[in-house]
Amino acid sequence: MEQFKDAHYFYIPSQGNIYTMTDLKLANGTTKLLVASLKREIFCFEYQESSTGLLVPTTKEVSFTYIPNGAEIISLDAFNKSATKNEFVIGITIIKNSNDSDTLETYLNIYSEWEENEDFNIENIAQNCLNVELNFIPYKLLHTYLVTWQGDSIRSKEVVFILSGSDLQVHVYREHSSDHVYKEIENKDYFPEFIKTPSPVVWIDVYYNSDYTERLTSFACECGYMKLLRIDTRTNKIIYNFSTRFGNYISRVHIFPEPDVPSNFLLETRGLTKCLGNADEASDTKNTNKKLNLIVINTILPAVIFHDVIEYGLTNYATLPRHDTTSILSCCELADIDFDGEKEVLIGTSAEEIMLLKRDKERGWCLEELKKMAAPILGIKYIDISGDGVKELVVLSMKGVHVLQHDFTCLQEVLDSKIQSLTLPNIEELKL
Amino acid sequence: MRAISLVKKIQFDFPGNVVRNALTLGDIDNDGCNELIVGNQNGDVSIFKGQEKLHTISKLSLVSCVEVGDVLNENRNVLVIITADGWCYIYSASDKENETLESSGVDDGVEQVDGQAQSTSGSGGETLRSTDTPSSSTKQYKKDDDKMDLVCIHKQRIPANAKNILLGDVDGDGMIEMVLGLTDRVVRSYRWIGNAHKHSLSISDSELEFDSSDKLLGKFVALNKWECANQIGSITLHHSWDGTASLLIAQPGGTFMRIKCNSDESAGHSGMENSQSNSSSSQGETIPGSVDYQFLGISRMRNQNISTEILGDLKCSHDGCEKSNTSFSSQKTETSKTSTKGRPYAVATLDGTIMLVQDEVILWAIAVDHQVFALTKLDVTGNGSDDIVVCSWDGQTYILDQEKNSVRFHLDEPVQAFTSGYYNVEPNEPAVTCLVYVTFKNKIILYYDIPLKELICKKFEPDLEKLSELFIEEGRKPEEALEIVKNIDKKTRKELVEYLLYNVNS
Repeated sequence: MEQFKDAHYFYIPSQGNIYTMTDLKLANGTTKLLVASLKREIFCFEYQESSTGLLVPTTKEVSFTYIPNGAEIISLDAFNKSATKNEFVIGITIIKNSNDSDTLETYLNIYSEWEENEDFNIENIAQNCLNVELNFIPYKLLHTYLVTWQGDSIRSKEVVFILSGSDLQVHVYREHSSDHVYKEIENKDYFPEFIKTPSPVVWIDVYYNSDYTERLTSFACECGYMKLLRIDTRTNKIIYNFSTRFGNYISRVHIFPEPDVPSNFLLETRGLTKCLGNADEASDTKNTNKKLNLIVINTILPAVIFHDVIEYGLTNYATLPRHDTTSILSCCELADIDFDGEKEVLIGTSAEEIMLLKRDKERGWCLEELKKMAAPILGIKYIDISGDGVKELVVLSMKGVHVLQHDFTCLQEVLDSKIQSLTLPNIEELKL
Repeated sequence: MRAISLVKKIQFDFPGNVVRNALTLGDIDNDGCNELIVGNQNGDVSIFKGQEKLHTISKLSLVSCVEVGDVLNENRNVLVIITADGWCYIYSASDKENETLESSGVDDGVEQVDGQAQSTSGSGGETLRSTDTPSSSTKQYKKDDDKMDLVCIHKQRIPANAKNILLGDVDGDGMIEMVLGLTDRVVRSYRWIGNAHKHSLSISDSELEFDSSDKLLGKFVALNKWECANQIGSITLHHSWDGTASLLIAQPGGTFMRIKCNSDESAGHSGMENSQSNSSSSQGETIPGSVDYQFLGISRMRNQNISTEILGDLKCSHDGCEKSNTSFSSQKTETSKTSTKGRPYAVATLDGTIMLVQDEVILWAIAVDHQVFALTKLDVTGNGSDDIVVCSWDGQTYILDQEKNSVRFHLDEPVQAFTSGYYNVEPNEPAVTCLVYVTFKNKIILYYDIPLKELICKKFEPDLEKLSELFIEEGRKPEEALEIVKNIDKKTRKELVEYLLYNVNS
């Protein structure tokens, strides 16, 4: 990770957790980052381009309404309801310490804009809150699609919030647009995979296949219990159900496809169209060659990666090496940071390090590099926050948020070789 | 403002309070590697090299300044320690060259040189006379540590209350002088006059009974004394475009006093020459050089009492100078010698104003919300021009280049002394940039290898010529392809870059 340079760092006054960083992908293609800290501060970070072409980092504290004094933020999630415009919904779970008794009040606050909008205004969103009172301590908050079928066609596809809690259950919240409220729905009608677990669920990942007929859900608990389920969304029947137990706190599960299908690129400019890549092959590879892998980050034990879980379930696995036995693995990101077409695993640890693991053809997964950071790491994201097409590594640590940018000379070299491979006369050799 | 976090650091334990100038980076043992030297108010001076503490000199009094330089003009660095109660110590690492140089015996040449004669102040003379009093701590040579043998080679009484030290050639004679700023608004300059027969002494010979206060090797002779109107912030050496040296003495309210003490000035001519050849002559009231006060335009609006730091001789790469010249030439029509601009210098005040000044014209000024107390220069990015590194009491550090681009670093702790420079973490590796903080928790934190290649952040701009290769087809010339690429709008170009990087297998 020598090629990464420190682009920016901003300090957050109180520490966040593994749930408190999310990104907002705006309709115009830019990305903003939303980071919450324990003691109520929520920061919106973005890059603005100055007139002279410099990137000016801007961190703005957003005051979300209905987060009372003394409340603590647990988790944060956001999604865009609209496909073409900005209609963001932001969910924040909080704990409120009640003054008179020892009881804790917990809430899921859902912030949204009244209507979809060309401009993104987070201040407006922050003022428009719907409250859901919870009777458990919230854990992981995420969103996913709820797909309902009518025969062979999708009747509706809406986004719902999924929240795991200390009551050992997973709750699903759906918007009732007519009443403008969010209500919990019965899991067994739509999400049969979320059953009662032996301990609170720490992380959930949901992956839909391209035509939304199937869903792969994985979740893991504090005690190390981990489940992987494949669900037919048309019948709501579980196709398979695997579970295993790791015996330690699991911090993260993540389902990721491999390889990411190289799509072709259609360039249109001033009457000129140019198609890069191979249009015919791309559609074929989509369904045949794509494998789904599942990575499970254990906090104490080594991380485990399950290859091709559709085919093999949890049997074809590899253990990822770790170099010390005292740190806690807190988060991971899968990203192709060296542009070789294969994803690397980045794992953040409490030992102020990011481990870069790379898959070697012969030796399997190897620890490629360790990058030292200034504080224990809580979250990693590989997103394009600068808006130049190149993704940056955004790292949430206990002290703040670090933005690491690719080195430009390395990028240009990579770009040169990519262009060269595309301009080679023999299309057959490209193997797109 | 862009900010960074720093990872690579070394922490040293160093108890006691450290005053601002009792901290320096320099090569004491002349091995090409920089060491860190810190002195505290209890009279301990520690030398850190690499990852460890190398040596500690103790039982001095309140250390107010430490500096490393060739003050003896022997082409080797020595360590100069000034204590607040008026002792000047010179420590030298024993090196083998000295032992080989053996010459004739000692004579009474020592007594011919007395600093008192050159001092223009009566009180200074009295203090200097006390150099003859025997010292209590004499044998300072190092015993147990095999890596560095630091020997006190000289000890001399000087006027008390020194707070700033500067080693440099202030009068353009090619010799390095020592300039001290005192808390009683006085600036004094000294020159080392070596004893012609000093080579008879082998300072590294531990068998020799050697009293460092005997002035066997030579002594400091006072050259000049200047009194300022106000408290001294800091002292810096600055060279104008023609190479004439001047001393800039920071005065409260963002102002400064400039002293030109060139030997070619007629007024000060005699004094300079005398002190070199026949130092017994007394020149009385002749003040060599010229003194002027600079108010830098905007200073009238500010608090007149705010303490000020100044730093001269900012190295700038040729491009940088050219750029600032053109942009400010319109304002400078009167003194329009565009080709003969002086180097810029930086002024910082405690209220958080940082200014870059060139030929008494403020190129730019920025205001920060922190109390800036330390002003240093360091070529952080390695592009050949010095960046300004300032630190505030609360640990906020700003790195500014001469084009006003800035990067911030925050040490989460209050700072009592700060410096920046080069440090050798590993003896065999080249020196790396470093920021040194002395905190109030008996720790010195040294951040090294500052990962800043440039101070600005930009979007990635692909090489359009390369990109145009994608569009070279039959019947299209390269120029036309380039034209196409140039006309792609920003969003599409961004998507194209993203596609090429992440979706094409090379």
